[in-house]
Amino acid sequence: MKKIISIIWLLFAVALHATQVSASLSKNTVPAGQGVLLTLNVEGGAPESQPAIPQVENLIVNPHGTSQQMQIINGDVTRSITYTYVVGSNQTGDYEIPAITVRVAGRDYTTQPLSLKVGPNADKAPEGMADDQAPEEPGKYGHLSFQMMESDRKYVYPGEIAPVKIRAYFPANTQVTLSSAPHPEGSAFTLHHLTKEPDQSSEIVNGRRYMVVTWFGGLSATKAGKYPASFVITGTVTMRDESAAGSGGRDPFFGGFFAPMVQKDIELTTKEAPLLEVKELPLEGRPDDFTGAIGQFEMKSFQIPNSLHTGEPFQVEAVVKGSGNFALLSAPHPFPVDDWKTYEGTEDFVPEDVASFGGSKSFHYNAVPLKPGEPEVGLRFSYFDPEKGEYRIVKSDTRKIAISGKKVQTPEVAATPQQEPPKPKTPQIAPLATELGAVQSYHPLSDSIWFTPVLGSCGFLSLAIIGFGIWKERGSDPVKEAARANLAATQEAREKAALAAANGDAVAFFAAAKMAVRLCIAQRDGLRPEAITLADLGEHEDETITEILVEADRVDFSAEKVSVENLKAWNEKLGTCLERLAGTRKELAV
Amino acid sequence: MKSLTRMVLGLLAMGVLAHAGTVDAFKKANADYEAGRFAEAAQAYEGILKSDGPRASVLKNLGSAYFKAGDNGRAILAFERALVLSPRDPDLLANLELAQKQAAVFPEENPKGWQTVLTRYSARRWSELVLIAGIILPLLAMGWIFLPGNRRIGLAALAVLDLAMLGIAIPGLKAKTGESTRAIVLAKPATVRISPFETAGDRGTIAEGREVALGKQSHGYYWVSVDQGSLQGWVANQEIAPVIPREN
Repeated sequence: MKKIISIIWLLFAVALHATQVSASLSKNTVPAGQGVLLTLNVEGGAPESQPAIPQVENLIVNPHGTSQQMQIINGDVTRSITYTYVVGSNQTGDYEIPAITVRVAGRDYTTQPLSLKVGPNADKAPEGMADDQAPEEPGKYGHLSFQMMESDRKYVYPGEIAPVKIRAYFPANTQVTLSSAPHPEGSAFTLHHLTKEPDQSSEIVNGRRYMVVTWFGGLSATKAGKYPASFVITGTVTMRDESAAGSGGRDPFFGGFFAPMVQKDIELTTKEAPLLEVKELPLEGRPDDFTGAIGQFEMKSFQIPNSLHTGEPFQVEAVVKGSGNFALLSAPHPFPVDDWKTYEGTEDFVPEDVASFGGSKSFHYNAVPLKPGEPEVGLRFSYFDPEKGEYRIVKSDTRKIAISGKKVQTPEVAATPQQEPPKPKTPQIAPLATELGAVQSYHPLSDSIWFTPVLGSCGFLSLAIIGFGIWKERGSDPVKEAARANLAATQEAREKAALAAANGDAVAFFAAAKMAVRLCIAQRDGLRPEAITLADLGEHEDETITEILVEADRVDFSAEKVSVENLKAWNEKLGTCLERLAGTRKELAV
Repeated sequence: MKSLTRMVLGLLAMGVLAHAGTVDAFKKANADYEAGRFAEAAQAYEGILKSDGPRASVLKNLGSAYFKAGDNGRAILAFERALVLSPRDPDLLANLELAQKQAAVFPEENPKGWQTVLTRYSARRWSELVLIAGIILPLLAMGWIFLPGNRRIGLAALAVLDLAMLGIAIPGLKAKTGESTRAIVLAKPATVRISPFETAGDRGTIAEGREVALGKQSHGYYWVSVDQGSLQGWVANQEIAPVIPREN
């Protein structure tokens, strides 16, 4: 009881204690780029919410921590809460921090305004600040590195896709969310086939551990000149702001642990971007059939039939293997060039690496032999070798092929017999359209507001019609109707037989019994009842049925009298027989 | 009655005259092209498109004129627009490939297997097929009710064909839903900015003729995404153009 009274007294004393709020700066002057400690002390009560420091232009204020104290001296209880902030600026000047308002137990308390003079000599960020405008040490959040896969290459050719490796280094103690893959900073280069799932590893560089993300891709350039191969990547980094924990007077050991987590949007660029030269492709030695393929290519295989006929098309299959810009590699064509007419065909590229740089491309196209004979035929194509800096013509092995028929001239050849022999097809823009054609619409009908309701109505209407049809068919099914009629007639005959047996009328009984049996058999075998005769019943038929029908015929012809007892016995037999015939027709049992 | 007839005849005559005017303009534009006046030809084709609406033939010739004039971005845009209307035209496909190669834009892989079927027709054509198949369904259902049993086999075969048409046309239409977000870069190159205003910092550039995915529009800028989001940001409206023109 004494304890409870003491606690109530203690709380009462705390509540009665006068509330005081004060603010102070650790120093009144500070060099630009450094910070001082602002202490806000609330004594004798707890603020209802976190105190707000008024905004001052160009002044950076970052929360640094909170501490609480409670003292009981000679029965006098004192409770205080201290908020600390790091305050500074990158711009020199006299700053005044207006009075800070703190709400305690429904009442506002204000501090005195504070003055801070920020002087020159700013060569580093304010201590304890993680503000976007504060200068950052280079590479704090990591950097990018760029490397050509052929490490000694310092040049590329326009149109070439040179394999490159781009690596992003992030400090190991950070969490990184990337918002973009690496991309070139300027317009001189473009990246192609960048790996969608980059490799991740860990590396120590200059004694510091980094998380390394590696992409592979192809670099291409569009115009000649010398350009820095600089790339950029954007993302968000979450890391501990260790500088916030290192302010004067605080524990350096626990400082890092208690440092606040800061999140920052970053943009990493290539560290020491190498200068790459984009060289023009030489005009000298450029083969006529060069279509822009740059890299290293070789003919893997090709297929041409051994015997051909002039004017008749056949299919050429060729596979080219290598590495480079396969997109600009055109189909190898047969030589001698002027002996063949070739047509556009299909191409299929199978990559052999994640960046689609190496692989093989297969070509299928039709060609027509124009001259008869037994020429040595092979395929050829050309490409530019960037390492040697020269064009190369690749010719396959030749095969002797028998070409029968007469010499054929294509319309082009016939029209220009004196000109140079036709060169292998390099892509040309298709001829102009001469027919105007009809005006069309880019937008599908499904964009119209009526489309979905109309389609939905059609579906609903179809279902409704089908439902109606099923219902109608069910009501007017002739098979079912016949079955129902048969059942009713059997039932009627059975009842007549029972009545005749009770009255001792043998002729009427056997006539009704015969009809009932015939109806049941007719229903079972799908026959007309009148068509069923004793002779039609097979050996497998129930003996009772045969017995009833034989007796019915005998009584019918002889007009013999049968006793009521005997008729009742026959009636029971009839009942058993009909039940057997009807199977599940329980309603027939009398 | 007479006045109505006169009005109809008048409208028909105006339609015929307008068409004749378009044919003349088309022929003149083609003549400009053949004479090497590619810029004039392109301008004339643009005029026909603006006054009459899109035609695959005009867009094809427009693309060719821009290509010859060295404007690869607009050439690619025109060929892409023509392919929206006529997706399997071999001339258009070849022209587009050529323009892309010229602009050092490497084309996407050709569709394979089932995709070749789905890309065979335009979105408009697929939507027409869906609608026709949808309207035929209740007619077939009514026939099933009223026709005698021996004719229902033929009806069932028609119903199977109709449902098969729906089964192909609906995925075909769905495969085209992404068309409305495609756009082509016209600038040489387009600058991707972090915010939709001119002084905002740039995130990178996109080469002329490249395809981007369009997002929302704000203050004269489009939000774009390239290569499945490897580069995202804002690009000024005049630096790109949607493949399917948007009504502003």
